[in-house]
Amino acid sequence: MILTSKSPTVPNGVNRRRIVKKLSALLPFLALAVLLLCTAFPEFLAPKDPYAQSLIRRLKPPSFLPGGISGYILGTDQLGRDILSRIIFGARVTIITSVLAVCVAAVVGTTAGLVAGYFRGRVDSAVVRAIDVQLAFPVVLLVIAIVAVIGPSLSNLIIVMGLSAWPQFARITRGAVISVRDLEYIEAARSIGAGHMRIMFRHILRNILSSIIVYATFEMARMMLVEATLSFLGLGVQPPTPTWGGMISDGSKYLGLSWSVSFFPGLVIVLAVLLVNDLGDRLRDFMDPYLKND
Amino acid sequence: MNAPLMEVIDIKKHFPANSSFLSGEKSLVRAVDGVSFTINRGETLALVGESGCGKSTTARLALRLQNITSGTIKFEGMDITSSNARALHDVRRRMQIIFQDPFASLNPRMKVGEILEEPLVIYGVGDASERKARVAALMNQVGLADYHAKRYPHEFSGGQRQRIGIARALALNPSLIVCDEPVSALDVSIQAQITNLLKDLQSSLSLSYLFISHDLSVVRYMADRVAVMYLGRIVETAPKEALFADPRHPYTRTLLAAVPQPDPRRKPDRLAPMGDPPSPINPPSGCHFHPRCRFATDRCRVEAPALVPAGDGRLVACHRADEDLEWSPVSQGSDMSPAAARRLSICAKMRAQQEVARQHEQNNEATGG
Repeated sequence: MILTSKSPTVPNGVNRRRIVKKLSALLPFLALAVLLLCTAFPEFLAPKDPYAQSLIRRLKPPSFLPGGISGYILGTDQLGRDILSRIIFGARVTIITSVLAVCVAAVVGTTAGLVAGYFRGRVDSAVVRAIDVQLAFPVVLLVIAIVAVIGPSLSNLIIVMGLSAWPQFARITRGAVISVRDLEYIEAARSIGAGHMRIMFRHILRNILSSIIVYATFEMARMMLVEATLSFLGLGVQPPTPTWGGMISDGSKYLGLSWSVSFFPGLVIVLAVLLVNDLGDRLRDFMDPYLKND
Repeated sequence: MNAPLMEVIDIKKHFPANSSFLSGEKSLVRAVDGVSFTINRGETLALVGESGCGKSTTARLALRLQNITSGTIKFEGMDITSSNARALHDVRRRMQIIFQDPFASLNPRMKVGEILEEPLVIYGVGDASERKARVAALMNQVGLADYHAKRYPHEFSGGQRQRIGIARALALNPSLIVCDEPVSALDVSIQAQITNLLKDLQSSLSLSYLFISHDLSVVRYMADRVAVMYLGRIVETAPKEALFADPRHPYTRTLLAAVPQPDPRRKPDRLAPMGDPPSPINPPSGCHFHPRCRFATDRCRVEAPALVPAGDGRLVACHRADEDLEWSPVSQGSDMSPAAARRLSICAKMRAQQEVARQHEQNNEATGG
């Protein structure tokens, strides 16, 4: 930054712009902190009990609008529960399922893609066929079938969601590996006696990780929506446990009476997806040695 | 020890090429087609030839970085042709490689310190602090500073990166280093630094080099013996002085004639081979060089010459190696008009006079000074 060295002499406007820029750079981290706090300690942050029902105050608008009740900042849902409290409690389930599902998908997919792209030959053909088969299945249908068999528990949900997303990871990884595996530094690694595992994980993976991370952030956003879809179908996390997707699908039946039941969880999903994407970009830049020292 | 450090006997490498769409016939690229050579301890063997003749593939085969189709490779007296991964792992620390492109041969995500430490980690050399000391020593050895260890490869210039590549090759104390065109991607001024560094390291660490290059002036500086490759085969091997003074194979002769001379008055030798090098998928019959050779006979077109001794430790693969061939440039007079020939002869006479005058001057200067 050229500006840093002569900040005392620059006009106020420039300084203010710098402060705004710095704050906006901090914003995602602030949002992340809030999100993590909600995930970790919803009991302390939520103003009301998210399970407390009251038919008298059902479908109330937010408190700052006419008709709202003070204390219920974002209004109430069809059973009179506080929406803000349910969003805060829903963060835990939504974040945990989507993060873990992406982790499952990334680990399975990246490993498969790495092995396929590195060894080529028959292993590669097998993995590519498996990807094709998996992609040919409609994900929702598959999930319905699996959940119907093994039951809709949280861990089952995570595994099923994760397994439905592995092919994209495998494809991206495989393509990246193929573009890297014949470079001279991989040959150099072999010449100094590095084994397959070391070459795959320390040399190749390290060089293609950024594209996987960027994809993982997109995928995390998608997982929140998949979870919402499954909750909508009644296959996700079972009520009364609040999830963001479940809240949207609950509210969709009452959209004519009250927009706020679906709107606020939807807004939170949008913000969370934006946040995750932004963090993914930052992480990629942070890991790139070319950008590190600028 | 008199046994050669490395002995390569009749190695071949055939790659499958695209099969024909209709007939399904598969063709083979004969990248390396029966190459033999030996490298003695402390010696530099240069492998020269135009691009695509199989030099780099030969080097990678010798290091077993690629699997060979047939042939035998012996290193330090041990047959490593079909060694399994474990046996190869032990051998590999004794033979290393320096790559041509210093921008592609270093992992962009690893700091220089990590790159240099990795071979030590793989072979379990020392503990963390010993390895750190070794990395520092290596960096000093190749002319880099300690603090460079914390940087990424992209922060270095081409010459510095090549020094990093050399340091990595030295990390495990090898006895043989394959230098795969180590200076051809560098500026001329840097080339001199790197070749000098390689020379210094050779004498201080008693290394052997297999030095691959298409640059004969670098080869002349570096090599003890030179092997000339053409289309997957060695056509001539000789000690450096003998090869440069009296090349026996027409192809070697052509290569030497192609070395640019920093003398604008020098008449270019009319020894350029005719046409492009043929494809290794469908090499010419007999001697591979015959379609481009001015001295080709019917025998050359049919029978492939073997690499046979021709005195002074020289091996040549040419049917006419023993004959005294007319090497001087082909006369151009035949299709020239008499007037042009006259003018040219006057020109030549003038130039000869100038030359005499200049030599006279130089002699005077020499005696005067």
